[in-house]
Amino acid sequence: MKKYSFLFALVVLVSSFTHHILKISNTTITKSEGKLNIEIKLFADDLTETMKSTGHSKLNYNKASLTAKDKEELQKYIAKNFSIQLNGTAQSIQFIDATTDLTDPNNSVIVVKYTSVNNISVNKGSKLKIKNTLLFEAMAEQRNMVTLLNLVGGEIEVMNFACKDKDVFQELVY
Amino acid sequence: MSFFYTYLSLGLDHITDVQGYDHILFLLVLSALYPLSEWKKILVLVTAFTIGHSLSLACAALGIFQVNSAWIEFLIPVTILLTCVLNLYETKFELKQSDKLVYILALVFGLIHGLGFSNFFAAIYSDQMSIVLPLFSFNLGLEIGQLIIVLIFMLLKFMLSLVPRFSKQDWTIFISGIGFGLSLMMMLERFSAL
Repeated sequence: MKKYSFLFALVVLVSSFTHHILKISNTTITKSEGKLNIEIKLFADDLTETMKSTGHSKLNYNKASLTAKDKEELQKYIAKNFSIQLNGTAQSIQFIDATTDLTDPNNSVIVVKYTSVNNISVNKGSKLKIKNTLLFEAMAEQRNMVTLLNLVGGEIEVMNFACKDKDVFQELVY
Repeated sequence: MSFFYTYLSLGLDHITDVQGYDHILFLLVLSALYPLSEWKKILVLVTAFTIGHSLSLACAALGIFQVNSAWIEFLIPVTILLTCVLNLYETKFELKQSDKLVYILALVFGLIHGLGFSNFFAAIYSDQMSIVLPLFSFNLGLEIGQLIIVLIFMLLKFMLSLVPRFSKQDWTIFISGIGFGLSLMMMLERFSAL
């Protein structure tokens, strides 16, 4: 019996061997001086795979410093897959920068920052609609979390978008 | 979905994600020696592991110290391998390890695993908000996930114990053998990243 146990252990040993984290992105939206600040965190390997699946086979986001081309294509991609509407009006957002967080070199994170072009007033009764389909093309298990911090008073709200549930838009009424 | 529940489900999903099975494997080898009748000891073990990883996850998330994640990723399979060696040693020589020693090991090894969780937590957490609620709910999700994993594992072990010729020794050797092999592979794979 002991011999068979070890044999089985060896079979398991040589079988598929992967180590990866959950497919998730995190977006935080805050407000300062009347404008919305948006910070999007995407795992670099997931982003690279997604960009490849959308025809950008030469782009690689798994590196310490992003090129102008990387940032340009990233902005185009985000423009297609992320948007904010307030009370039915689409809000223009302006790209600030994209950097690589290498705290965990095995799972580096791309941090993309935006700000709203215009001053925005979010009050009680305001209707906020967000689209977030980032990385959905390549990741069937992708989940996108959007945290809205202190937009109205000290309220914290969370929206969750799941590729498998085909969540494209989420709406929140304050 | 509420803020609390979002982070709780992230903790639960993270620990039960079979693609990142190193934490699951550690829990299995940690509880391999114990029968279902010793559930209180298993509960203390899992709780000691939780206290360990909660402490280090909180410290890393609060920026109290920073660790080289490549080393942590390497040390996690080392904790699994050492636990397997202890299991096999105890089984071969029919020794009984001190419960306190096992609890302390679970606590210390939990500290290492918590630093591994912190990489994932840092990626999903925004430093623009208070860390208390996300950290608490994420840890609670991890704890619930761990208890579910161990419960399923112990029920499987209990069902197997009803099979004639099944022995506790075979079970421990089987699980520890798998753990030993897989952790060795993980160590070799992650060694290159050091």
